[in-house]
Amino acid sequence: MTRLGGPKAINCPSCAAGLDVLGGGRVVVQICGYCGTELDALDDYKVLRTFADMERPETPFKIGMQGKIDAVEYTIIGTLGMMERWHGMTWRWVDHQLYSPTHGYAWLTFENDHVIFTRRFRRPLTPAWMSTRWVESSESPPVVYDGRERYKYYETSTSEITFAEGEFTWVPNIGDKATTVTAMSDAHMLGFTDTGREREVERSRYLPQDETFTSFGAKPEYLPNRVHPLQPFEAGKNHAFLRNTTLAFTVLPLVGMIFVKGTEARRVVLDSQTFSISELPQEVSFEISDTAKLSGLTFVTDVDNSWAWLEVSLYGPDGAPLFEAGREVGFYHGRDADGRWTEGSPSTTILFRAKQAGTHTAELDVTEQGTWIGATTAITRLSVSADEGRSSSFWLLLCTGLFGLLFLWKAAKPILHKKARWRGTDWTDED
Amino acid sequence: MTPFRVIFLLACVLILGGSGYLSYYGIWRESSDLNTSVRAGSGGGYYSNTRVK
Repeated sequence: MTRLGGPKAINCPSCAAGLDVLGGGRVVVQICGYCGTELDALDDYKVLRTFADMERPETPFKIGMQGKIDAVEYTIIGTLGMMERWHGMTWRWVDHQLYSPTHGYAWLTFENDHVIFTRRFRRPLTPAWMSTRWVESSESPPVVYDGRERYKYYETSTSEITFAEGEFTWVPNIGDKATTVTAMSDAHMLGFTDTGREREVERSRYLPQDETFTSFGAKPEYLPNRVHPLQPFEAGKNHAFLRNTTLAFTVLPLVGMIFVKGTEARRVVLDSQTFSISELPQEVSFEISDTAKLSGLTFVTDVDNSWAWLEVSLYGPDGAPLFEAGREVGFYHGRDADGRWTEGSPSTTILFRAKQAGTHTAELDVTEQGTWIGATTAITRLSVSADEGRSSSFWLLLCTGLFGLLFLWKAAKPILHKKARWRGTDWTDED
Repeated sequence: MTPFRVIFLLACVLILGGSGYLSYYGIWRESSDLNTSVRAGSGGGYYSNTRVK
């Protein structure tokens, strides 16, 4: 492939700029980067035409840079500015023609601050071609196989050349358009391009970014801020550890809750006593022996579309007040367009912690009450009971929720990454 | 096992143990509407406004 005996450099016959000759024997044209003149590489670099007013695209790579891709040394011999317009939006990227004396020609694409490597793909495909007609008439995304990977349709794009500089194995024309149908597997993208003169299949893959920039001696200006369709998920060295650990610690508190509930040993210290409202206020006494865990005072009323205001004072064994509390108990129900509804509850529980073991006394009263509309029954009686030895699953539930969220965050990352890769597909199920 | 992993595991164990302890004894799960700043000699119900304070 290497041109033996050819010149290593030429002077542009139009502007006299010195141009390196870096490409191999398949190069057909060289475009001067200074004046835009296209020279015939097969006919002593005669002037063919001049591309005026080309806008140079932004890229950290330039002609003459050399770097290794898969341990093969490539030289950048050409630069193409590319553009796609669709529905008022514009996408731009830069294709660099690569040349290796041993491995031939390839492309290094700089797109949205990502670096992609593309080569001609010659392995047989089943089916052999993905056409725009197939895409337009298909009920589901078209798929091709290469015997190893399955490529699902990604998008159809029509690109246009906006800038050309350097050596090329074909003749690029500014403004030339080509339609490419792309299909993607987990690691590669196939591009099916039909220029009207020829059909070709190319395969692209994501390169190790830092390694490639360093190898070519290029310094990227920005870091990519969007996931590229070919970008693999980088798990990070602690990803699996954090995912598995947070899963384990999501399950362990649930086991803890079973243990806490199983060993709760709640003990009734005051059997339910019922008082008529007219008998209130009343005093009830009960013996508390467990001061480590929670105790509970439970009140049950017969409010029915009505409410009552309970007032409770609790005194410890030494007669000192432990607390006072006022609480509304209300229960409402009815029927509307959505069906039956209920709100509130006719019962309530006060949780407290006894400071010392011994006889506790509770003073109870209903100081206010009221009724709602419709069929209502005002409170007529109040039942009270007490127990001790209560635990609470709340903190373990909070623990499982916390670790569950961390686990979901870790487990969702690869899924979200895959979703981001396919975000750019133009396939919709309505097609 | 890297120091990060050891510290992360220890933190997980501490959080689990702590929440297990708090749950077992029902710590900080007393009803939040209790008025505990009541002195002896209170005149009665808090809401009937007869408290001696």
